Amino acid sequence: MLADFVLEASRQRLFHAITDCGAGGLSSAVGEMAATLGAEVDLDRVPLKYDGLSATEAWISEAQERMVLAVAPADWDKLARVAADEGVEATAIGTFTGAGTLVLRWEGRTAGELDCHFLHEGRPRRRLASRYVPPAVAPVAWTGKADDSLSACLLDLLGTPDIASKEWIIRQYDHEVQGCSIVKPLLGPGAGPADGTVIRGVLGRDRGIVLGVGLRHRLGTLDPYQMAAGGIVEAIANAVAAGADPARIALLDNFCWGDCRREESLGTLVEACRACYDMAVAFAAPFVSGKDSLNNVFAWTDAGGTHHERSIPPTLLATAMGQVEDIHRVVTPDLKHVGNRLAIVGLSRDDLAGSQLELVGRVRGGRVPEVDATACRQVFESVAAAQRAGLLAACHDCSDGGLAVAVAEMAIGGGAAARIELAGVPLQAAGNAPNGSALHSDLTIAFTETPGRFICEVPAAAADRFAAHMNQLLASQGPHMPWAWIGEVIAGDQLEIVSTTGTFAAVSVANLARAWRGGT
Amino acid sequence: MLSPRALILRAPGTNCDHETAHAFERAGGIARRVHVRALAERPALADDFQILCIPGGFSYGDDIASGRIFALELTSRLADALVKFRDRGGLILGICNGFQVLLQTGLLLADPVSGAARASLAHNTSGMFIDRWVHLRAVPGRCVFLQGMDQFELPVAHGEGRFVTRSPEDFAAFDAAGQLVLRYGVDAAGSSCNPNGAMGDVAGVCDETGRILGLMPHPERFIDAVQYPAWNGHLAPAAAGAGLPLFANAIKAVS
Repeated sequence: MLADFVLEASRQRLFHAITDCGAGGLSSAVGEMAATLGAEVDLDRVPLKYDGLSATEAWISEAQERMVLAVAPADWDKLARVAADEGVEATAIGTFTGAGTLVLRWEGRTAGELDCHFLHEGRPRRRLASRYVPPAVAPVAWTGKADDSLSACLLDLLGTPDIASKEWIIRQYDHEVQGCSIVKPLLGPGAGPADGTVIRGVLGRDRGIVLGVGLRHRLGTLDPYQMAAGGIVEAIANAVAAGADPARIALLDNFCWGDCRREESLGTLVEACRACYDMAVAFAAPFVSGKDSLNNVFAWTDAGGTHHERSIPPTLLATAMGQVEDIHRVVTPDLKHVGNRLAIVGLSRDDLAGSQLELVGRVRGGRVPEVDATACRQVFESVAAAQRAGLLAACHDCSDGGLAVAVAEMAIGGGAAARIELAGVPLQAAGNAPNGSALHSDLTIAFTETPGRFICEVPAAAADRFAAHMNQLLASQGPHMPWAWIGEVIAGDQLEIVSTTGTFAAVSVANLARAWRGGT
Repeated sequence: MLSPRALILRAPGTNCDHETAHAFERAGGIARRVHVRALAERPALADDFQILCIPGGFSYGDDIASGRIFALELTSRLADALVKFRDRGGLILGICNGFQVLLQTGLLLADPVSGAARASLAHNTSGMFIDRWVHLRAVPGRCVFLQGMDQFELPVAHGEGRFVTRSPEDFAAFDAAGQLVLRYGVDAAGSSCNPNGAMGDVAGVCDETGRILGLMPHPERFIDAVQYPAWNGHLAPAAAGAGLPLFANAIKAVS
């Protein structure tokens, strides 16, 4: 009801400003809105749920579903009419005065009066110390069983909580209401995962809004800068894969942190904020809003009477909002047609710390994947240009689980078979996989999570044009953004992975889908 | 002749009114979203329309039960207007929450003597809200909305959509009268698409005249090919969706 009212009042332009009543209730909402003008509020006009509340309680109550609107006196009657039509209670509680003072009245008496400038700027600035000591890089150790295989790793990875299907929760939300969702969270004949989602801005028009999210939470305790930077790059990559113009991205941040009064926690927050700044500048993508949830600490006293505190890992959830000119031209990640070719765009590196491969017990240590913002920007532009030119049939970014998981997800969504050859993947080996066997090299290429890479399905008829497009960019922009053909969509029902030594790993797409959906 | 006009009746919490209005306009009609309070104040508003549609949503927050308060508001303040609308040949369509409202107002499947509901929409057997696409089979009979429609897919999105009748005899009677006009079918793999445990896989029903239809699936969410989850690479993006003919049939029937 409240939302219907606000939308209709907005459509009729009946208010100048709006703030929802969150923490602090009216004190925060009115206080912020009146920060420069000042206001007089008659607290005894505020509708109360219960009798017997004091002026203070009316002022700070955090009762939900309330909004404060700034309404011109001439528009009040119209606004009240809209409220009545929508079954919403609207009450005039005060006036913005221009006097720069916040005055609260209660039953004819002044209950509070403060200078707005003092209220907002007058308090002494709090000083906190921060300290950040990067954890030492542990040497790489391969920890899988002797009879391990590419197929076994792939099936295990598809079932990890980060990668596995979220269908159980997606279906419980009405993600199609209002008829504007064009690229949905589950798509293709096989209901595979989307990268970003695309929403038509206005019914009947062609322009779309693209939303992508990125979360590299497993890197938080290893390198909070790369955790945040990687999350932002992943969010943009998801939006670009779904058709967004990389030159017109806006970002949101969502910080979930531990006790920031601790120097170490504040240190990781500073690192993440540095990453936000650097990425916003590198991608010319402004942060337009955000949210934080700090001081997530679990405290307990053990049987011996010792007090413990545990903070959550530093975590930044990034959201990228983009635009697409014509929703009819976007491509989704599900594989489309037998005979189409598969390319990888972007360089892979052998940094496995914090990877999903580590989570499933195959490897420990090593370096975390680092964002090369220059390379990422060029990869984004090249993929977006290829998409605009109609050279793609499908596009998927490589994130959790790397290249092989990305191709598996494309196969699941399309209900289609594919073959990829690991030997062709452009790789920069920094020697982070010492003592590695051939299998370890293959696992590294298949599952490393270097940010800023895409798998593109290219129609056979467009393969030459795609290659020319990529090679031209490669020639003009230097070695930042290698690309290579790595396979094709094939007939049959299997994902075939050809190892660097020429051996075959093959898993049926049905088994991939079963593992991804949590079956065995 | 002027374009047929569709009145999209909304209440607090209705959230499918815009796309439903859009669907009628895409089908060649003129659609107006009208708040239930406005119609209650001036029932003669309905005289300007040939089609009345109660769209989906969570009217009044689904407090008490889905559609219940909306239905009470309609019966207490608008019963005469709705009956008059029906009796002068207007078409009435209820989608999802709107279907629930039609059953509870007695406009669909009510006992002819007592006016009591002989069917209702109960909680899904899963106990959960579900948003998914289903295969459907239409047996239109005299239902004007479904003429020429056979097998197609539409999305459902509801927590209370399990069609049940008061008794097995009631079900048999509606079946024999050809009122159970839309059923959940099977998907390509042969699995049932019944998303909620509905009796007889019933997804939609019409009244004796075929001019009132209530259905759980959302035809207004499949007007364009691009609304289909697997459109990309499989359907011509500019093609029409399977839900559009339902609105076109209604427009044609009153033109």
